[in-house]
Amino acid sequence: MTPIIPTANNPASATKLRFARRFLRSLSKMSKTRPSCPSSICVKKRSEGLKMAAYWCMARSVGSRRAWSRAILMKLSRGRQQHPHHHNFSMKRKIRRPTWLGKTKKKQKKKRNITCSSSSYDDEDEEEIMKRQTEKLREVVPGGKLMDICSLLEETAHFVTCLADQVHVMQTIAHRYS
Amino acid sequence: MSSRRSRQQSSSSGSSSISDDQIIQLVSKLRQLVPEIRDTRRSNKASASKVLQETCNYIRSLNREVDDLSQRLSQLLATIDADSAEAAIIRSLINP
Repeated sequence: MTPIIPTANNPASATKLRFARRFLRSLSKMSKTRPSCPSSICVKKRSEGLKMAAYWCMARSVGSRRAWSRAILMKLSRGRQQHPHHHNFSMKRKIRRPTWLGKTKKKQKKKRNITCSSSSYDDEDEEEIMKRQTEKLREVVPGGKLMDICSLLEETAHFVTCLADQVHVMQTIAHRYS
Repeated sequence: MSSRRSRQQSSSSGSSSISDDQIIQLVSKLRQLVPEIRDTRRSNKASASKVLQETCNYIRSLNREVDDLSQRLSQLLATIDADSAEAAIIRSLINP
């Protein structure tokens, strides 16, 4: 049972409601155009398509005023251009997965810490640690690789809020229908 | 390289156009958004690198949540009649 994640500040911001409506419309289209198919490959493809649709809907709801949403829209629309018949993200062919989403496998590779003893940790420059963490952040935030540190932190804050909203809406929908 | 070791936690290079204050403000904003840090008593003492680390972890966990929820919803897709339920879902989001 996935725990309900409380949203940061706005329980129902305008963006969140826009996302909810768009996403519900996408779900409606997906359920009507593709007959339900019991095979596991079908289900897997459909869930991948659904996930891309969720990110797409959230990025559309934010619009082009944020660098992260522009990055998502650009990357996903490139995938759609290569496969023009995929209006609903349901998949016959492979859609390239954006790099900021990471690997498909659930297990995340943890980078091994170089430091083993406390004395070598003290020696490591705080600046180096910050640099490492900033690089990791750039990998998970869409469009993060092109931003300066200030923009990265601002975009991250907005992205985290919207992503938490997205999860909350999806949980509400899943809860309603389960 | 060794000259860098004498620098403080937030580097204050005069040539940088981004001020430390800006970065500190943005990091404290992030501090409030990430539940791992916000809900602990020592939230104000968490260093900037800790905040960034926890933010990365939080984003990854949210992506995993989206993964799981997509799987669940794809299984429920056949039963979803989104048109009729839209009003109810929007209402439950507005009044939690």
